[in-house]
Amino acid sequence: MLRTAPRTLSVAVALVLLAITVGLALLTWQVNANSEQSLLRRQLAQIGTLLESEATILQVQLADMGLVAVATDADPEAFARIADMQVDATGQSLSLWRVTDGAADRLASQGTPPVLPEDGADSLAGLQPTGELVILGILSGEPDRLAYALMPADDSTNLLVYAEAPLPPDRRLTVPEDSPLSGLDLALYLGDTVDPEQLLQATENAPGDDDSEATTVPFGNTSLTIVGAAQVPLSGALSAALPWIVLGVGVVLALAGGTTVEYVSRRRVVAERLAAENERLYRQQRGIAGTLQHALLPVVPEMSGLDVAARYVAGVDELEVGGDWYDVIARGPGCCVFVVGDISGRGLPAATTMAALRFAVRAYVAEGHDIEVVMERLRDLLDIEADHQFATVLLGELDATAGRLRLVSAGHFAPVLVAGGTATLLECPVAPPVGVSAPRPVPATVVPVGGAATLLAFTDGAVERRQETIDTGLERLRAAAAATGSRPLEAMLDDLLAELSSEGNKDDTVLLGLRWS
Amino acid sequence: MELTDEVRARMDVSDDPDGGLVVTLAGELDLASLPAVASPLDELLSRRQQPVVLDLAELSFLDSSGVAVLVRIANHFDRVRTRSATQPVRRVIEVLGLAARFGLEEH
Repeated sequence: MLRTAPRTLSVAVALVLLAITVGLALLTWQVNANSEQSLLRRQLAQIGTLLESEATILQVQLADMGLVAVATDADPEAFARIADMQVDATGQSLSLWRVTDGAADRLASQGTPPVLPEDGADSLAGLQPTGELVILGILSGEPDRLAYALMPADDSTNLLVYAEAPLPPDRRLTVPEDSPLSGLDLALYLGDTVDPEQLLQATENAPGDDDSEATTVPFGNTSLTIVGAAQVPLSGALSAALPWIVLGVGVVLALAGGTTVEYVSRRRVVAERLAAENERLYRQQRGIAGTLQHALLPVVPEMSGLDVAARYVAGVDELEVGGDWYDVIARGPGCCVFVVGDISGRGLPAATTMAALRFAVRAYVAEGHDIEVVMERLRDLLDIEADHQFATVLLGELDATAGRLRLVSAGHFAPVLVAGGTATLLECPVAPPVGVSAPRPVPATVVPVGGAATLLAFTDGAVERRQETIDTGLERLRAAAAATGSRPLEAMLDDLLAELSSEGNKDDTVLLGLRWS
Repeated sequence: MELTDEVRARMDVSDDPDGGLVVTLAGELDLASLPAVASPLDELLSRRQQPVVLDLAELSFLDSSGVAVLVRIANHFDRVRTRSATQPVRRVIEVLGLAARFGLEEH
């Protein structure tokens, strides 16, 4: 494994996963917070209902006493009897009043003596006989109290029941441990606003401004505002921890994801490097094969009175050198001996045999031998039984000045002659290939080639196709040669190669062109 | 080498009722399919000299490596006749100047 900086992709993947994680954590937190809020609101609503019914109880209590007072014509003893039961249980101060001409007179009193609101009994005089609970406010005292009163409805006796209920010390609200509300910080205010002056009761920890919810419920002729906050998550610890769990797991996953991408991409880089190395070796090997082949093939000579051009194209399997070759040996102005050949088989054995034959031809020609003799001597150099190869060879002797061409073929195609816009596949007796025993030497064929012409010699790659008879390929080459005969020689060979190339041609192709005017 | 090479070319040797052997080559005989006929060829070339008829009716393709197989058979048995060659194969043999060597029957 390479020790390099993490790849951009890996970092990007990790960052994207991290971003998703943070998003999910926020979402979870939001959902949790929402569910916390809605849970809290629901609990406050329950408390509200509880307090509303409390108000109803107070109202019924005072109304009952009012009814008794009316029925007994404000008999203090009757009032005392009924009030006494209440006072014992609640520590209230209960008193019976009659309102006449804007002034209230106390008829009876039970429990703690009433403190009365600041303006004393006058504050009671303004009440109406509605049968409704009237909250008169919080009174300071030992202890502080809540003052409220009720005048029985539809009553003309003008009786009024007045009560003061003690608030707990420090107005402390104690919620029993086993209550469903035990986890809440609560504060109750008289009125519909949060006014510290109007605080009725609060738990030890008053709810702060954050995360608190408030609800207001009717309470007698006024209302109560309940403020609450959760001490601990209402939906449970797991749900509160969920955003953190999501965040933690997400971070781990992001790191794992980034690491995985990093690992995979590094492996890929290694694989790509191996592939590139293989590709390089392949190219190198192909380069070696091509280099060898081209090194074994000659550079065509510059000759006076004769244009010479040659092309060699490797077959589809370029890794192996082929056995095709050509050579042109100058013999004075407009005169040359040329050779085109093809060793059966492929690879180094074919290439080395090719080289041997090519230099043998050069040597025999240099010794002044005629092409007939050269061909017979070549036959001594190769034996299919020993070498498992044979060679098709076309030897030609061209005297352009004299307009004479001599050909001798050992298993090789005769050349195509292009002259005056027509192309002809020359005919020439074909002896067995070099390497195969031949009964007797075949004399050279003489072809008159007067006037400007182009001679095109080639190997089987130019004409052989797997699915057709060789004659079809020969005709294709002949027609293509006729069509391109007017082009400059180099261009003509390129055009021919383009025209003759076919998909998956397995054989090497040599084209040798000789042109004179 | 392709897996199908084993079946691309085939060589069968049988006795000719008129004496000698009939060597039947079928399929595509080229450099790649050469291994498929290597062992029957060795067996054939170990036989005594006798007249041989090459039956090429089912041979559809022949490249220079395939020709080399025919040459070795012709060299070993000396008297060789070739019959029923398909046109592509016939033309390959002809352009190589081997028609006479293989005793290729006139068309």
